[in-house]
Amino acid sequence: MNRAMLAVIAASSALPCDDSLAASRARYGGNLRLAIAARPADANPSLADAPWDAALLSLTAKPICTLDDGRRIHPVLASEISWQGAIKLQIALRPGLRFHDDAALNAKEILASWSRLSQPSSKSPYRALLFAARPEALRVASAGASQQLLEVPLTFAWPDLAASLCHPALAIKAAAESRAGIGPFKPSSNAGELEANLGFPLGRPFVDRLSVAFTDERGAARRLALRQAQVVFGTAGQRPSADSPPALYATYLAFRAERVGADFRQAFDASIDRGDLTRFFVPAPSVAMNALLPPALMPQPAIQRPPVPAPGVRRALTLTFDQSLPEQRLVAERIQVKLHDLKYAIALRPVPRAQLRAAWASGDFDLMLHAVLLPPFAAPALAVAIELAGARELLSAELPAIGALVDAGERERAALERARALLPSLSLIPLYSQAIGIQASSEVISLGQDGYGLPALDDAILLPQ
Amino acid sequence: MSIRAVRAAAWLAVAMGPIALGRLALSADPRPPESTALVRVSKSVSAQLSDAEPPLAVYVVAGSAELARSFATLLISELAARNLAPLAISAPSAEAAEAGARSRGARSLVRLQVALSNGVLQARGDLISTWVNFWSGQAGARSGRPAAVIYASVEADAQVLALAAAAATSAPLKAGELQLETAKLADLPTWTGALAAGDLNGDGADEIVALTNDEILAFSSDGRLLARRDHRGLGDSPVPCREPFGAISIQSRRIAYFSAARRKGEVLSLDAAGGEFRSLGAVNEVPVGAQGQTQIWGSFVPGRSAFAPELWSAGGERWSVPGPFWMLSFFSVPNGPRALIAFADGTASWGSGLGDLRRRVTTNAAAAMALIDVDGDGEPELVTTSSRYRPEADELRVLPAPPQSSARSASTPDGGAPSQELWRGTIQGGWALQLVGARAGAGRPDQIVVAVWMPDGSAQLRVFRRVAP
Repeated sequence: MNRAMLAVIAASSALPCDDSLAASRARYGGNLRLAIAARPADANPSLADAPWDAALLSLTAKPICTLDDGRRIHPVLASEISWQGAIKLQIALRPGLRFHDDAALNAKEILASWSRLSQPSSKSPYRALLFAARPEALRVASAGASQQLLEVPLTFAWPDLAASLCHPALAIKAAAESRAGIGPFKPSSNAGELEANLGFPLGRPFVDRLSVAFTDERGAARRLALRQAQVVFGTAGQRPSADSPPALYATYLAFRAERVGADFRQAFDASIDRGDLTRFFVPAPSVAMNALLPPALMPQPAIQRPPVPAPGVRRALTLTFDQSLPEQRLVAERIQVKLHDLKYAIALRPVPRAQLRAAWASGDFDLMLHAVLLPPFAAPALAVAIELAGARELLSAELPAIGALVDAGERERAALERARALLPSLSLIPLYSQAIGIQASSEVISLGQDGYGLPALDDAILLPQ
Repeated sequence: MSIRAVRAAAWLAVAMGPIALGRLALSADPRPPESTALVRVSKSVSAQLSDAEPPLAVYVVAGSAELARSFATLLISELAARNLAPLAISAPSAEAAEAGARSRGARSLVRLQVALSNGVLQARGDLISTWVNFWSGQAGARSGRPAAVIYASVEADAQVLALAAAAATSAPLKAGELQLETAKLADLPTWTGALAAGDLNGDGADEIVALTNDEILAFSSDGRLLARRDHRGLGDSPVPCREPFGAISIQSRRIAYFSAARRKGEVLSLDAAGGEFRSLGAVNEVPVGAQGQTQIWGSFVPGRSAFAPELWSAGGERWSVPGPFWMLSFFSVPNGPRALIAFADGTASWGSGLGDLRRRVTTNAAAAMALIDVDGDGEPELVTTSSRYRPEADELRVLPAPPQSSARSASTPDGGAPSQELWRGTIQGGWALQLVGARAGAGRPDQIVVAVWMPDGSAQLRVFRRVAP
C-alpha cells in the first residue's frame, strides 16, 4: 500500500465508525463523483499529459503496462514483458482483449499508437522514450492464434525501455478517434459518465460508475463542500513533502539560442528566483527546479545568482505557453516583467497544447513554457528532457553509455551525472515541477497512486452512507 | 514460578554427547538445523555462556515439557561443543536448582526460562557461580566469580509452536482459559486468493494449500514447500477480479481449485515424493466447499471477489443462499453438521447446513471466518479476523460457536450472535483475508492457519495454536 493510501485510510479510521459500514473486503458498487479543475483534455494521450488529464485518460486507455508506487512494472494489456537478450524486448499481448465497441486489440494497433509520437503531425517529446527502439524493425511475431507476440529490437541496450512503455503518453488507442482505449472504465451512454469495464485485465474497478465534471478550482471546492463531488483533481493541496506523490510534471522555459542571444540564461538567472516564481505563481503541490530533472529524481543544487548582464540591444521575443494551464500565464507574465528591464520585449502567446507541441516540433518559437510528465526513472527522464531541448542528436551520444550499465542504481547515477553536465549546454531552463492536487471526501477510501503520482481511481472504494 | 512450569523442567544426560544430539536435531526437521528458531536461540544463549566455568549445570523451564526438553537438548549440545562440560539439572524451583547443581559438582549454573510470546521465542535467565567459600561458614556467601543475565529472542517458527502446543481438552473452555500463540509458517510472493487445509499424504496432519493469482502451492504442517504449480496455463478469466480471489476444496487427497483470475479450474493430486502436483483434469465450476462427503460447487460473481448465491452438488442437489458471499465453512460433529457463511455485504449467518442458512445473524462479519475446533473438545469455535477494511492492526478472535438451535431462533436481537470472546490477539504486519483450520494430529487441537496480505504485495502464512497458559 502506498503512503497516500495509508494516509487516507488512517484518516477514515479515525472517524467514528459504524461497524455496519465496515467490511474486511473491498466493497463494490456506487457512483463516484469526480470534479476536475481544468478543461477537458485532448483525446491524444501524448497531449493529455498534465497529471489530472493523464489520470482521467488512464481510466479509459492504459499503456501496455503500469508502474506502481514502488516503480514496479505491472503488465496490463500485455501478459508478459520479457527481455530476449540485451537488445530485444518481447511483449506477449493478453489474448481476447477488446475495445468497448467490441473491436479486438491487436499488436498492430500497439505499434500504431507508439509510432504516432513520431509522426510529423503529432511529434512529441515523449518519442524519446522509444529512442532506443528501431522503429523500422518493430514487428509482430504471432505465436499462434490465441496469443500475439510483439518484438521490439533495440539499436543499443536500454534496460529502462520496459518501464518507459508504461508512460501514460504511450497509452494504447485505436486509430479511430471515436474509439477509446482499454482501461478500467469505459464510456457510458450518459455524457460525462464512465462505467466499470468488467473485462479489464486487472479486474473491474470497485465502483460501478464515475461521473466527471470539469470546472474551475473554486467550483471544484464548492462541489466537494456540497457533497456534489467526492473526489476533486487540481485543487491546491499541501506543498510536497516526504509523504506526497512525486512531482514529475516538469515545466521548462525552452528557448531558441539564436533568437534570444547568448546571455539569456544569465539574464534569466540574475533576475528571476525560481523559488519565488513557484511559491507565488504555481499552485501547490509544486516545487522549484534548479536542476534538469525535478527533486523527485535528483537533488537540486543551489543557484548562484550571476551578475545582471549589461543591457544589450533590445530584443523583441514571443513567449508561447499552454493556455490550458493558468499558472503558465502567471509565470509568463512574471518573466515578461522581470526581463523587460534587461531590454527583452516579450509578447505573450497563449496557444492550445496541440498547437504548442506543433510549434515546438517545428522550432517555430523564441521562448516557450513547456511542461512534460517525466518518467520516475532518471535515464528515460533525461532522454525526454534532452528531446524537449531540441537536442535529439545528443540522444545517440548520451543514451548508449547509460544503457550499457546493467545495474539500475549505476544507470540512475550516470543519468544524473549527465543531467548535471548537460544542463548549461541545453536550450532549456528548468522552472518547477508539479504533482496533482487531490481532495477526497471521507466516504472514499483506498485511493492509491501509481508510479507517476497519478491517482488510481479504479482502486477507490465508496463507503455506503 | 508455577508448579506446571516446575514440572516441565527438563534434564538430559550429558552422556549422549554433542554429536548424537546434533543428529537428533537434524532428524526432527529436514531443514538445515540452523534455520529453526530453537537452534538459533540455543546458539545465541551458548555464545553468552562462553565465559562460564565448567562444569556448567543447565536448568530449563518452559510452559511445555516438550519445549523445555528440546531446548535443553540443543543447548547442552552447543555447550558441550564449547568444552563447558554441561549437565542437565532437574529441580522443583530455580532456587533448588542451585543446590542441585552444587551437589552434582557443577562450578556454575545457568537458569533459563523459555517462553513463546506474541510470535517470539525468548530464552531469559541468569548465570551464577555455584562455588562457595568454605570459610564463609553457614552464610554460604557466593563467590565473586562472573555472573551474567542471559537473554535471547528470535521469531518463532512452526516447530517451536508444535513443541509448545497444549493437548486437547474435553470440557468447553471459558473466557480466559484459552491461550493461543503464533508463528510464521511460510512466505508467499503475492497475495493469496484462497487457503485450504487437508491431509494430502495420509499422515493424520493436514497440509496447507494456498492459491495466488498465478500459482497454487502446498506446504507441510511445519511450513516446508511441498509443491507449486503455475496455473496461468488455464487461461485468463474474461471477467477477472481486482483482488486475488478463488476457492480450494480438498477431499480424498484431491485438490479442486479455481482462481477468479482464470478461465477454468483444475483438480490436482500431490506427489509429495516428486515435489509436484499432478493434474487430474480441468473443471468449469468453482469448488466452494465440502459439506461432509458432498462437494459443493458454485460460481463467481463476475468481476467481484464473491461467490454467487446459487450452489449445487454433483448429485443434483441445489441451494440458494440469501446473497453473494465471501466464504463458507463447514464443520462435522456427531450431532449434525454446522455451517457458517459470511456474505459480501458484511453480514454472516450460521446453521446446520446450507439449507438452514436463512437469516443474517450478525452485521459485522469478516471475510476470514471459519468453524475450527481450537481447544480439541470436538466442538467448533468461531474464529474470525477484523471486520474492518485493512485495519492498522488486524486481529484474530475466537468465540464460542452458537448452539445449533440459535440459527433458527429469533429470541435475541441479533439472532444469537456469540458475544463472549474466548481469545483475541493481533495479527502483525498486514490484513488477513483467509483463514482455515488444520488438523495437527491425533490428540491435538486444530491449529488456525491465516493468510496475511502484507502491504508490499507479498503474503505470509501464519499459524495460531493453543498453548498451555
